[in-house]
Amino acid sequence: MESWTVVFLVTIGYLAASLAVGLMPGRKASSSTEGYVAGDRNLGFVVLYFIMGASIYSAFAFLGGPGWAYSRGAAAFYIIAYGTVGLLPWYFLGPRIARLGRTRGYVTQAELFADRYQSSVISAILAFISLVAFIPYLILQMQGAGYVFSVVTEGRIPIWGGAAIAYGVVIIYVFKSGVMGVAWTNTFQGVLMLTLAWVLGLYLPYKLHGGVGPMFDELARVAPDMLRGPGLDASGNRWSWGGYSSSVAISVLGFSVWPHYFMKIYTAKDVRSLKRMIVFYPTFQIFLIPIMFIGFAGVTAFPGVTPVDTILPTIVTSMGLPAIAVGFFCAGALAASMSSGDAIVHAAGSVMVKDFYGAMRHEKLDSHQETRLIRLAVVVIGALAYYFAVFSSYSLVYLLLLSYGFIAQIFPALIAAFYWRRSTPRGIVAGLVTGCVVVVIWNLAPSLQWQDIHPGIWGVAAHLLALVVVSWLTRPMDATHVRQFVEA
Amino acid sequence: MRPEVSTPGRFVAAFCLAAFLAVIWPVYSWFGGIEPVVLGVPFSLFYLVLVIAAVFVVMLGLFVWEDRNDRLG
Repeated sequence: MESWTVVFLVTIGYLAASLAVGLMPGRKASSSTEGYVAGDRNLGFVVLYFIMGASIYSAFAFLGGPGWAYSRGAAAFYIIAYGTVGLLPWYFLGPRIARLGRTRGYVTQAELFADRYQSSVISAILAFISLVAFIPYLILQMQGAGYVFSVVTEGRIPIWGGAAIAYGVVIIYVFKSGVMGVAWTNTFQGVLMLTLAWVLGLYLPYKLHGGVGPMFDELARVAPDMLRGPGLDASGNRWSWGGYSSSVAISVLGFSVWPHYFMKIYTAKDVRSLKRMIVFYPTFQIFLIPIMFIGFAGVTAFPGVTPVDTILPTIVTSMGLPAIAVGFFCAGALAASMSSGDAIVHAAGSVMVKDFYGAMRHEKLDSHQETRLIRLAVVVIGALAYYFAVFSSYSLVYLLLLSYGFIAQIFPALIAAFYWRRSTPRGIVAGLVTGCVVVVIWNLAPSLQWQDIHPGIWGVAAHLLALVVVSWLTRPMDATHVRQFVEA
Repeated sequence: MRPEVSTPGRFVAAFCLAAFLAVIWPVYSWFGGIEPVVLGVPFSLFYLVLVIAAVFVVMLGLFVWEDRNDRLG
């Protein structure tokens, strides 16, 4: 059998297994919106741990992580840094959010804000921010999947075909099983990725350099600046501490409020499972270390690979590994892409129907109708992202830059909702809008840059100012209503 | 009534902030060099492993304490 056939068969085997796990009978929640979006609030520790871990370790971590280590050295460590502390705010706020969700029936992030501030405008703004941030990420995951297929089959399966096969499977299990499909496939995909990361992360440095220690010794001799914080910038000069630190900061702010993670708070069975997941979450960061080794292993062994994100597939396909090993690599890379893509497409569908469409109309849909609409939205969003992933040459870089800056704007609003009684609906709207506008302006006008500080940081500063000033200028909210949240 | 935050909870919240400050400038710039190499990896990476370990141990400690004293919330 030709080697690419073996690779292809292993990959198809993985996809079939993902589909089976995603559709497994008995893993389904009820067909109400609460079941489809929040798993009937019944997920335990292990599934929560993997659903969070695997959604975060996306195609970005699996392909982008080694790419950063390969081209920018220690700059890549910022991914480890923000992941370690990013989820900690949940330990303190998570149980309160989960409790409110249970008693007041939320399944999305915007529902919490709409209820706290009695405003459907806030709901629509948050839905807009979420969708603007989601779509480019989803497109990127799809391109990643298509790319992996195309490389390991030596171009026999084109990018459009690979993306269609992988995301066809995703859409089927998300459509059918909702969050339970995401949860169980992510557990399966998470285990596969962890195994693969450690095997490749230790094997490649050993094979190419005789071990991790000798590899770093060699790098310390030939490229010491790569190993010193904050590493290199995109053009290979030393990165600035302002750029590094503000990237960590904006990612930390955004991490706990990304809507597709945030919604998982509602899926927790109880406070114990939720808190336990948060405690164990930093252990998932250890998984990123072998990922970094892979990128470092390529620096002297495979110089000049472009685009840098292809360093991992390049090393794997050019080392003469047995076809079955390449097949497992392909499966792992697809798992990384799909385990993020599924959570995003599921959340985007829910946000579109619950928060955007819901804010536009007055009479409430019944729960089963709503689930049907969310399913429809999942398919529409999937198809739209697929179109852009495959047929559009529009560059995503600009949108991706905006998305983290936008998402981080939700964090100050979250803190105000729980800790500042005097915050008002208009204050929140002013803060969110001002913050996002500042992010856009700072992205459009690089001359405003100072010390490489991420535009999102300026956005958050402007957000805070607008939030405080406008809240003070507008009428306070009813104290009894506010108490239900601030003292939840 | 206000949601009650335990004294250990307050300390841990302060620790979380410290952990965040530990991975950015200026603290990380003091520990982000190559030497000493530990277990074959440069200190800039090993230091982050130490931070991960510290966060894990402290959070686990608070969790166990809360669990035993019925304060999980």
